[in-house]
Amino acid sequence: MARLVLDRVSKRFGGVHALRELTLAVESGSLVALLGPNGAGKTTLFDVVSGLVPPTSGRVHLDDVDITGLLPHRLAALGLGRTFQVARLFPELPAVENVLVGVTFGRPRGQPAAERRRRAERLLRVVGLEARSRARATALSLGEQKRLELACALGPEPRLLLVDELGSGLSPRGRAEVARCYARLRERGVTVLAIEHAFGPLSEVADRVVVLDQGEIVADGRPADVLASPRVVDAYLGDEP
Amino acid sequence: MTAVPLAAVAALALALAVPPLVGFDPYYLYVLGTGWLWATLACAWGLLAFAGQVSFGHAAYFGAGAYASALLSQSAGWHPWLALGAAGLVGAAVAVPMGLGARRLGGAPLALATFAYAEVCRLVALNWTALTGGGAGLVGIPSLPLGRERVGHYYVALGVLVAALVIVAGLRRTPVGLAWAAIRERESRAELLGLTPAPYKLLAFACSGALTALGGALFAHAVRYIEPDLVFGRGLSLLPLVMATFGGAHSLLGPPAGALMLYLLSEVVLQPTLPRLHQLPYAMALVLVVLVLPRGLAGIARRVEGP
Repeated sequence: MARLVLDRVSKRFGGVHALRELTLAVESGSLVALLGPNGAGKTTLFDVVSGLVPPTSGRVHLDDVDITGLLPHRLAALGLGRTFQVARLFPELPAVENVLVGVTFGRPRGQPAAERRRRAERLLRVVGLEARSRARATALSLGEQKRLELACALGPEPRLLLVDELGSGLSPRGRAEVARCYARLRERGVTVLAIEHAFGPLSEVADRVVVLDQGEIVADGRPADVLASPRVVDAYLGDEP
Repeated sequence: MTAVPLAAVAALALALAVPPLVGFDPYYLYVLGTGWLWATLACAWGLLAFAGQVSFGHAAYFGAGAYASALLSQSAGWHPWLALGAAGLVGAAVAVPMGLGARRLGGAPLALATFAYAEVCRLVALNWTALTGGGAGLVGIPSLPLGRERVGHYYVALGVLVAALVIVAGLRRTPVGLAWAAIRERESRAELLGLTPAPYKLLAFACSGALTALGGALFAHAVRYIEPDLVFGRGLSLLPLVMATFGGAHSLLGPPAGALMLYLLSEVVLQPTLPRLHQLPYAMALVLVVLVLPRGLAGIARRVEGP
């Protein structure tokens, strides 16, 4: 069953076509890597799905519900979570309270305070930040901030999680921690659509890799097959002389 | 706030109950009582700032509370205590339009809207002569039945301040407080996590308006005379802002601490010695906040505590 369906979605910014008639289905429980060079339209796709920018045309469905143009808090209530390339946290709040926001105001509602706290601490363990729960978000390293944002996004128990470049700009140790996070997400059964700038740890654990270039899908399939695709090589390296 | 500072605040409040019992100079009792009132207003302003909303128009709620309590007790014959409580509700109601406006406005546009709103309220009070007495104001407002008046007002003002602090501290520990902090820190992110900001902003305005209106009502019953320029004056919008930001707008104790420091410095130190410069502390506080103390006095405490 498809959790997310994009049906001929286009997005134009003036004369720039960020997305062109893009059609994509993400199966429930799968981990899909979305790859592409700079300007391919990956983040625009996330912005359209998460309601931050409306599509120029086309529809977006989450579990067969048309979510095109819904406000972000409505999308969260329907089970959509998202992280950003540069972590968007609540900088002055301790890590555990950052996570508590999603736990408290997302799904399920009405849990007792102690249970909410336990869930927030459990999510910090999922991303390996249990020892930093009282540190303010601004006091965390770049990698820790990215993992904290992932924990925040998991707070409302999303059915679909959009993860934007979780591994970029991190040290090898940080990237290894990110790979472990993806493995834990898979164990939790969360459907994940994750952007990475290039082939890396995500592509190795993903069920499927989709490559975008200039707003279009240029390759879609198992990681090994996509890696061998000439169009993917073109998209990343350009035409051979 | 942890249990220890709350206990410290309770102990401090008890200590502050002593001055009237030991024959404190009536003038200083009056000054301290007024200090508690300013501290309450700063606390109410700080509550709104904690939720990430900026107001340049708290005079609207102060004036509304003052007129509501005065009219209910004087013209409608309500018991002054009942009128005082009702004034809080009136203040919350008067703050609702700004709370609704905050759905679409934020930052400077919202601040300017609140400033304009307070001016509109002042002009309504000035021109609705049949109800408010216009520019002549209302005279002979019943005082609160407190026995020894000055001592009584000292205790009531202190009680209202402590109650305001307890209410704000309690709210900050609930999901409402978490929502306010999240909206202040990054509203768009909070929405993506399922939070609907509008009702929480409305609640912040209503609570802040109610506490400010209680201060206005207390003032009306203490002074027993009000007129539009007195209770809707721009100073009542700007001074709580300066006091709260100097103390640390996002902290619980910063705003009342800032209010007391600035007011007592102005009133007790400068007024008798350099009366022409008695408002200098407010200007200096603003300069300090802009240049070196963006988090106010609370920021110094935080630096000492560490990250």
